[in-house]
Amino acid sequence: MFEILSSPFVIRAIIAIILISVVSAFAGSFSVFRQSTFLIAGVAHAALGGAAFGILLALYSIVPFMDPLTGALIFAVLTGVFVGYVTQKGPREKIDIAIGGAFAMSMSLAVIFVSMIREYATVAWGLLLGDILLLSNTDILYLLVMSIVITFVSILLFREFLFISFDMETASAYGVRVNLYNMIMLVIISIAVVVVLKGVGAILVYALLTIPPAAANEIADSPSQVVTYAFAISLFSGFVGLAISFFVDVAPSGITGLVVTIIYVITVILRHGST
Amino acid sequence: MVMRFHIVKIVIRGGERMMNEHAVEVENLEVRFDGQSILEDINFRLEHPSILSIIGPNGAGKTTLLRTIIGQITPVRGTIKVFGIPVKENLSQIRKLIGYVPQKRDIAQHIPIRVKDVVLMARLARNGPFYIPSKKDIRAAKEALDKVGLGSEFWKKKFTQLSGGQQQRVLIARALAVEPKILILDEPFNAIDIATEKKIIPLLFELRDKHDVTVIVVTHDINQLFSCSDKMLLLKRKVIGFGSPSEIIKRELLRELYGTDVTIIQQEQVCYVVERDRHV
Repeated sequence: MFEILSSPFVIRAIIAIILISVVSAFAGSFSVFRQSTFLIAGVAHAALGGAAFGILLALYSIVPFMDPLTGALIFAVLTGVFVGYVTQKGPREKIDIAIGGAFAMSMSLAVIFVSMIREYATVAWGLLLGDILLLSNTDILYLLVMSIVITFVSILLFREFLFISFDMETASAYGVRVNLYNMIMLVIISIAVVVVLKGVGAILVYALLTIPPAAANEIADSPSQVVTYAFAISLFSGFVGLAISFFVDVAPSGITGLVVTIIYVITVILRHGST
Repeated sequence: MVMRFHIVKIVIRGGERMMNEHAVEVENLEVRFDGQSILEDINFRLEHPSILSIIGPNGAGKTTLLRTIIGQITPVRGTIKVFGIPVKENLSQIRKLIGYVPQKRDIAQHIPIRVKDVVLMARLARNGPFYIPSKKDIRAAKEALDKVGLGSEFWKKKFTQLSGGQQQRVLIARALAVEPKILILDEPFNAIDIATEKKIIPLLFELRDKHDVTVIVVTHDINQLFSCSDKMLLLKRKVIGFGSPSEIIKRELLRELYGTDVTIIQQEQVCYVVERDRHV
């Protein structure tokens, strides 16, 4: 057992679970506060197109150092910026339409790019399922840098993000730069999607980013408690998924997804039982 | 079609208040959205400190006028001055003078936020992201909560677990915590009970008389603020009337405002308006 735990791929998986839990706690909570969880699904699909784009650029030596993760990150950030821009210009309900537009465009691009990189297409599609046990040292370093950025910005702008999520009009009345902070918040959420996506895949990124904060939101007494509880739920679920995968030959992310969903159901029952 | 009757009591005050400066001056204001005129030819001057109620039917441009005063909307024509300072060129300075209470329907109800965080929110936001709350900030927030009649037991309560009236008072406390010279309230009596309404109105008097604050209140309902306003502005995309309640309570003005007949009864210092407000 000790041998398994001390093997490099498991250590990397443990580090990844911790990083994913941190970004899920911050970015996921903001997406729940801002009621923009659909952005996560949109960005996850945009990231797939970005990954294929990254492979394409490297394959044809257009940008030799480009890799799938960088491509995914670029597309994710562009999606966040686009959605932020559209929501500045239009009413609130346009946010879902903007995300839908980015979703459709990036998936179309993904299909085109994947068809152009046929022999490497599995690398891009690999992001659909992800595998926390197959992360390289470079992947971990990448995730670490992005997690530090997300954590730093989230702590620094926590109050502003909360104000614009709670009451954007009043925030604007007091001179808070709502458009700027809204944009930064959406970009932070988009970067978080790429971090989580690398570990658990595009299919489960929505569950892992939104369900722990949503469960925390049911039982917490303050926004900072939402972040803390979401971190604890993600961490616990991630470790349960990893542990079970040692004994049963199943993908850890699938187990993790099931655990967070069960925790969510329990919190809903607890909440409704107490009111 | 349902006909509804309101009885409104108006006390005509004796004596002139000492007022030597203007809190708000609006000249030839015109606001347009997508080429359509929302406000036109708006002119009025409001002395400081005083209570102004802006009254008009839905879609009259009341919220637009408020948002233009606080600089969220740029007019196509005209000027607004707050304490003699043009709003357009001095937004950051103007915003330090104003406390704003939005319509409660615009407030997110899904975030588990505490009362203390709401009350401190605006005051801290003014100082930017790096600012750490001081004892003075906490004291100002607690005093503001006290002013609206919510004691220290509310400080740590969850905002979302409060009643609609209590939430409204917390939002007023948030605006008072910034120690404003002008308090602006957008439809503060919507979806609250009469008991809360009766607690808020004396607070407006207290702010004017003890704390030297000018209060601007927007409401669509004629019966709420006649008794406490120094000035009233009847608005229906343009100014239908502006003046003291006794000057404004004219049958023809109210008919123009609401598109229906009203009956006004006056007995010495007290007026009663029996208004037929039309709801389809």
